[in-house]
Amino acid sequence: MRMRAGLIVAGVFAALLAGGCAAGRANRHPFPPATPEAVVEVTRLIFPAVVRIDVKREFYERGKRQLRAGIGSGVIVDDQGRILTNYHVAGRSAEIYVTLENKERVRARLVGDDHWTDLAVLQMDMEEVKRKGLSFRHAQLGTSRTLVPGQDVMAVGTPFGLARTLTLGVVSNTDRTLSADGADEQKIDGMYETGIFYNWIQMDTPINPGNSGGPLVDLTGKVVGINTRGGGQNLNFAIPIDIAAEVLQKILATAGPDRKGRVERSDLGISFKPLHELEQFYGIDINTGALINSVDRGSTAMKNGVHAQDILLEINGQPVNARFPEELAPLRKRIADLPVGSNVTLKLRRGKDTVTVTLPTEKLQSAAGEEAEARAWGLSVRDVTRAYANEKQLDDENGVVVTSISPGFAAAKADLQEGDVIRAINEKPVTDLEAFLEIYRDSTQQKQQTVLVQVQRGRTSRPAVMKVSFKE
Amino acid sequence: MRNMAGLLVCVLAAAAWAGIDAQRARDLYEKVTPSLVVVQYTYDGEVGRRELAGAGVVLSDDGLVMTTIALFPAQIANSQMKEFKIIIPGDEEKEIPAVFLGRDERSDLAFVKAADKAAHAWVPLPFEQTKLQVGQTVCSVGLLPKEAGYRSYYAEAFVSAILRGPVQHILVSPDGVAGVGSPVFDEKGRAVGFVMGQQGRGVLLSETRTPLDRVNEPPRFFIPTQEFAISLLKPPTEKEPVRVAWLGAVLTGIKKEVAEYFDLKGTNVAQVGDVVADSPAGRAGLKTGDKIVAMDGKPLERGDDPEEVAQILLRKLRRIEPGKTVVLSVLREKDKPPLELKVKLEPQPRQPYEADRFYAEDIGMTVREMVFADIYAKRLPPETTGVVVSFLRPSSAAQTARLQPGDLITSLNNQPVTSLKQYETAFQEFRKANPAEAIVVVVTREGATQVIRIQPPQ
Repeated sequence: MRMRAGLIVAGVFAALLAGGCAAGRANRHPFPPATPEAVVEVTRLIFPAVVRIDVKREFYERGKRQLRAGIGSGVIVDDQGRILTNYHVAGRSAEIYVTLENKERVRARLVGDDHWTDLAVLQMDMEEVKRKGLSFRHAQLGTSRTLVPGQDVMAVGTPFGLARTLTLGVVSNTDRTLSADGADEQKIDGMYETGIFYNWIQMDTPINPGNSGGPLVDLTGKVVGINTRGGGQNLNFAIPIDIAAEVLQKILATAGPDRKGRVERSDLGISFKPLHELEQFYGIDINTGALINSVDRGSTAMKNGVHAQDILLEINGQPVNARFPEELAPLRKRIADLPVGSNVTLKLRRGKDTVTVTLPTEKLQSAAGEEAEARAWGLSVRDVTRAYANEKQLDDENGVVVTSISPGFAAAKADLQEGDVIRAINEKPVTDLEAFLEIYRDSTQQKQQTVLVQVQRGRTSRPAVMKVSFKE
Repeated sequence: MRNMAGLLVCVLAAAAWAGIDAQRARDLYEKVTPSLVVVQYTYDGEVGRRELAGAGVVLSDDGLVMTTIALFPAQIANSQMKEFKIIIPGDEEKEIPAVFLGRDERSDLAFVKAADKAAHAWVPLPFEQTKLQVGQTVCSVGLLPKEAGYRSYYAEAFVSAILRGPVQHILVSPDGVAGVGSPVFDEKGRAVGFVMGQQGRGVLLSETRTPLDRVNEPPRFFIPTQEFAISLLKPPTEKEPVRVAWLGAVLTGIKKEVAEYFDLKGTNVAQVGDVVADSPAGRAGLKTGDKIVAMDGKPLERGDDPEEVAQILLRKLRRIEPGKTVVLSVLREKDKPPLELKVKLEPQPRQPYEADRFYAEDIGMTVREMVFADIYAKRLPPETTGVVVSFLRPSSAAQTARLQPGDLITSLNNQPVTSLKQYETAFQEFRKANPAEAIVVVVTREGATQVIRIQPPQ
């Protein structure tokens, strides 16, 4: 309790500083209040920077790549027409239109996305903007570091398709974790891990479906968060803008004309548990270290002898403390932010001993591998990643997993099922998605009508023969 | 020819009309009723006790009674089944203490025996093996539930189909047979089959929705005597419970297209899907992908569904006495003759319901011994030791701490768990010294570990 109170005091101090430096009447107040004048003024500033997003996102169903229409919100972040929004709004999208404040619609494209933080970056078609003589403003990004509970905030977005909707409320909490015991069970689209590298801003500002991706602004008009989750009633959650700004910068830095921008993160294969109430059991001081709950099979941590129940005391000489669930996200981010492939030194308490382990980090991988369709066979598949193999306790990460089946087509007739892992086709090993697609292309080019598939279902391996028909 | 056909139809029709006349039905009913008894036991679970009862048939004059295995679901551990009784229905209802002889997985039966064979004048019912025909009339005599005083009742039907499969099923219509656990008779009054547990049909005589469930929703099939004769010839005894044989491999059938691909059209094939290294199959050199085509030189049998070949073979193997050797003919490489693999069958590994248990009242959690099935299902290294969470009392300390049934506990208070006994001792000793102190366990769940602190009520 004491430590958390400390954090809040530090926040107040920083807010004072920020308020002092900023110019303008509304900014003089340390927590600019929602006076009628301020609300109207901020609305005038922010409306031209908020867009409605109409999107078609890619998903695989019934053996085919398909598009699903959705509506969300976004905030324009620079004069080049870049837009910040949620991954669950525009991640993996194929077709995007944004609607500006003046109700004009412009095409946009996906610059990059990051499901771990539920963020995506879009680029408006600037030629179209010019051609149509459209204008827009961009929002100023503030900081989420200085937010305090009780501070007035506003949300702008497209709830239920109702564009340019303003709602008002207060920050309820600035350090919210949605998993009481630190477990990270949240997934986007049922597959994509998310929300494990930051704590949320909680606010009572009404948020509804369609608000996602829109800005949460303070009463100086600066963006302090990206509205992401509505919890019903008055429990709503935004991604802190400090997290979003970093992801934005990394996506822009890695994006190219033919390349989606992305965020690279490090992984050690360790999951943690808060030490609260376990300090005595492990005989360590309060606010010291983080308990290692699990070490992933085949991970760098396992290969280098890190064990469950070790207590992580230091990373590269810097102390670690995860006593409460709220402290896990920052710790995970600390590890994720290490350069991929760099050596990291962990100081561990193991029983009564202190052990030092130096190990290289690995690139963080999702359990959701890349997905593709094999239309002629009537199935879609996903690459088996190590994370997926661990989750499903597969022997190794070779193969592709069947994600959907088209009824009446070859795969369905051969009794293939969702979740089956294809290990070989025509007696050639399928190591990954690329190998699968190569075999698929060859086979369909040759119009092979009989395809032998070796399938792993649970612990059982079985052959299946697909009878493929080619109709012109 | 035409006349012949006509004659045949007439004969069949006559048989169908004739059925079993009322007098014969009544005679049979009177004759069979003394052989029908109730098997009752107490399920002594963590949260309370329940008395469960089902129908049984007296097999011998020393009080041996057969019932269906469905009366003993796998969730109920052997150690939780207590106070077995054989109830003789009637106005002078008699309760005779009995001994559980165990489940018999060869035939999906279970047996109990009177503790004192002189406690009752037993009327055994002999079963006979006959070949049943479609159209034939069959009848059965069963027991109504407790609310109806376990009164016996008569039911009659026609054989409408004989289904091939791992076990032959005799389908009847238009009305069903008597309730689960009842004997079935032919027109001559010979006991030719038994009603096994089946989906949607209640087994219990003790807890029924309405007293007439069994009559209103009668079972639709029964199993002919030859399918369980092996168990009647050599039923389990107190000293010698039944241990079915174990191959140690997962077998699957193959679809027609797969058979064609491997030029095996018309051959009955069981495909090897997985082999346990330390098992009869593993030691015999059976490999994943092998195609079994014969056992002891005889081609495999098929069912109505060609993919049932594997289940039929597995059932055959289970019914062979452990220790015996069978020869499996196996196709491995293309265009090569089959390999002859000698497999020495072993008794099936201990099952979860046979495992010993330990219930800690204060934290509301039962753990049981780890058995082979746990190692296999969780893909653990064979040398893994631990105990498995088998029960969590609602709102108990262990449940609040988010343990889950099936969790494997590998460490208790920083000490590795090597056996149930060791866990129990360590727990009790710790509890004695620290009456209200939390314990810390490490569990394996879905390939990951979890450190969990369980705080007993203060």
